[in-house]
Amino acid sequence: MRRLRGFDYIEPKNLKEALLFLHSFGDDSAALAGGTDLLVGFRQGNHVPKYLINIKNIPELKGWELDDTGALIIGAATKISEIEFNKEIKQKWNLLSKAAHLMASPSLRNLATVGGNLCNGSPAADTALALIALGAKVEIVGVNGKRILLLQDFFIDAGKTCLARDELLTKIIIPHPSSGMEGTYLKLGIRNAMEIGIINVAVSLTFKDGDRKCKDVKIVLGPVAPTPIRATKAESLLEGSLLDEKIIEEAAILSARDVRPRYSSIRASADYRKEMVFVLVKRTLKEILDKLSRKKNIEEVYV
Amino acid sequence: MNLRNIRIKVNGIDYELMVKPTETLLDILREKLNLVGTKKGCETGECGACIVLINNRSVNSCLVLAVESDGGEILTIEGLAGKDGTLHPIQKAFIEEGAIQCGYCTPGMILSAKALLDRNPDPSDIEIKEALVGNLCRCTGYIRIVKAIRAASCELRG
Repeated sequence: MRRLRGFDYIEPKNLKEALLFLHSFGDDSAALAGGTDLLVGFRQGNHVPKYLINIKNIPELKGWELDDTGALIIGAATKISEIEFNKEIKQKWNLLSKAAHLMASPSLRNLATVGGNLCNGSPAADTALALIALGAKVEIVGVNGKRILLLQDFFIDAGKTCLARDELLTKIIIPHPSSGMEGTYLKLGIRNAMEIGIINVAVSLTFKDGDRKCKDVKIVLGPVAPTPIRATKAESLLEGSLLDEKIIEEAAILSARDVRPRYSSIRASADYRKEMVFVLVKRTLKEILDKLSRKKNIEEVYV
Repeated sequence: MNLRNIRIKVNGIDYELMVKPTETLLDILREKLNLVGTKKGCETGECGACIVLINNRSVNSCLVLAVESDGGEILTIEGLAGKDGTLHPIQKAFIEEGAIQCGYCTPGMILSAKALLDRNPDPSDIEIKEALVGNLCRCTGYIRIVKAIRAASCELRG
């Protein structure tokens, strides 16, 4: 493996400094977060910029807090392991905990950041799919100001986001979970771990008043397109309907029918991916249905 | 390219070093501090042979720039045994259970195990295996490694 060479290292004290460096050095610089993609890329022959700007210690990118609407605001430099073990996230946004736990390995999760995972622009990114299913927004800051957009709109193409070279993703904003919200995340790989997914599915639904009528359905799939996508036809089918095995089957069929994965691929063929979309959408929805049934049974025992 | 001054504590000893920005923590542990217990494997974060603990968290030292570890407390495999040479229960268990063949994965495995047991003193087999997903072994088939960690967790819990 090649030695790392050719870059100098800058550690800005705050966001303003970091953005000035990125803006002045332009293409000669890159932001260094966890380094788990960037440094590996250098070793594999990617272009090495003159300056690496360490953004992990910028105060504005660290930590997490709840705002007064109960929304969760996570700094982009938060490590994946911090998300995995955060009790608040585990309880209220469990789908995100699950996705974080399935990423990479414990030691890589201690280095990799959620911002880095998103800015890599991979349609398979575990945190991306989970966060889109949770309706997350992202805050982007540049020398000219800040903007907030839906995470779903952040991805433009495979490996490409709408982040300009001199901008930084600073925060991820996850709305307060509605009561009755259920969600889950499944990842399929050739191995059981350390995989970039063949198909990953994040599902989120809300059930009002203890019945099985679905609301705010989100089925997020990757990688079946250059960016993470929503299975919109399946979502429309489920919206307002009662969740049962029959409709789950239909939703899974619709999800698979709608995707057009690349014809040839390193990890899996297009046909296999389509079939696995069907299987995983069915499994995720079934998992939620089973959970609801167990809840209902417990209530019936005590009524 | 500018050399940087860093201060790190490794296995309880304070060091002040001049490092290049392009040197990784793995490079300086092995080449400047002669702590060759930590191994170079894939250098892409996939094999775990380079795993050390920084501030009690396991990390792939091949992906940590030396400059970034400034101010950190690092534990390598050499720092696990007592000052009088008494082996840590995890090290003892690896030996007793026959969990070492060529030994190349062993430092990384043991430190991943330590990180697990520090956080979860009574892990299930599944939890042990999940903790080791980032550590590859080409010799043992993993069974004795899992057994050793199970034994060590019993010993540590008394």
